[in-house]
Amino acid sequence: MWNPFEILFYAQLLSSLSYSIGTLLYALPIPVYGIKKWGPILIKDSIYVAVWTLIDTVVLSFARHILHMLGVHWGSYFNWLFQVENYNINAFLILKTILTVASFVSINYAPLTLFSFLLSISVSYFEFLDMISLMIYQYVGIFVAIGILLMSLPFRIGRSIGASFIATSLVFYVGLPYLPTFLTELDLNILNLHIPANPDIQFILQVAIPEIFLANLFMPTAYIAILSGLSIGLGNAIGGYGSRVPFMVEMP
Amino acid sequence: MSLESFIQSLNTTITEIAWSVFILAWAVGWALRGSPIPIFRIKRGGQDIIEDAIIAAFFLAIGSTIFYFIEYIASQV
Repeated sequence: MWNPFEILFYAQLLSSLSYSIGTLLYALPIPVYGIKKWGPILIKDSIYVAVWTLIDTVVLSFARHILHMLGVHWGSYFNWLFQVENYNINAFLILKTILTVASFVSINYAPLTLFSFLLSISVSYFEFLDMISLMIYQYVGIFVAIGILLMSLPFRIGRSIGASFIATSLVFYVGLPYLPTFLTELDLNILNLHIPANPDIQFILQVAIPEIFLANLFMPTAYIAILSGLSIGLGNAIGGYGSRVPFMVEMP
Repeated sequence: MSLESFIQSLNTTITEIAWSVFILAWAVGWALRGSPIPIFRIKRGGQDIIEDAIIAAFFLAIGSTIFYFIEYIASQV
């Protein structure tokens, strides 16, 4: 297994390399602007990456602090995911039984078929969400370190992809466990859906199917889209033109 | 040769080349600046080269010390 600090060590080596390339280009006695402009850029980038390697653990603990401030925990999030999966699987099994029985009596149960179809999609969707969450939760440190390593490559080769690595892993690490709270506040948590003791067909058509669609598929997807938008913004802030060292490198 | 020692040797080589290029730029700059050619742009270009070379030498001296120090600490930990 990779150690994030080993990756950060290589990032440090590479940023030192790009620093010396930068000074080499700065000292070059060829008055070609296209070559010489890379000198200050490389020096600035290497200082920026060196700062990132130093504050890596600080950033991660800051992310954990934000999690704490939001009052959410990865443990309870995984618990919620398993409960929703269980709920969907149970509902799917019950419906499948009803449909199998109904096929012998030959009554038209078309809405129920749609219902079971939605539930089976929901189950696989939550499996997918579970996998993504586990990946983010276990490897957030390594993802941030790989992002810094990509940013440290000379001549800005991996700058934007490295910045999006850092931004995406940080935003999803903080944002994903908030999903249950988000859904609960919109009154779309599937675990809070109250089904009456004798649900009629009208209830299933007007309440249950839309709610299952919204709470299991649409709103989680919308939430992930919001998180992706945030991570694109953070990625631009980390790797875009806004990222500069707070002092002048090139002299007039 | 491991990746670490490869990057480090590459870094050392580039730093050596940068110091040599600094001396070259210093010489070329002064040669252009002191040349008996009454064209202002050439003399001005010589001065620009000298200025860039001095700034580059400054960054090289400071930066290589600091980066070497950081790498030394990182490799000890």
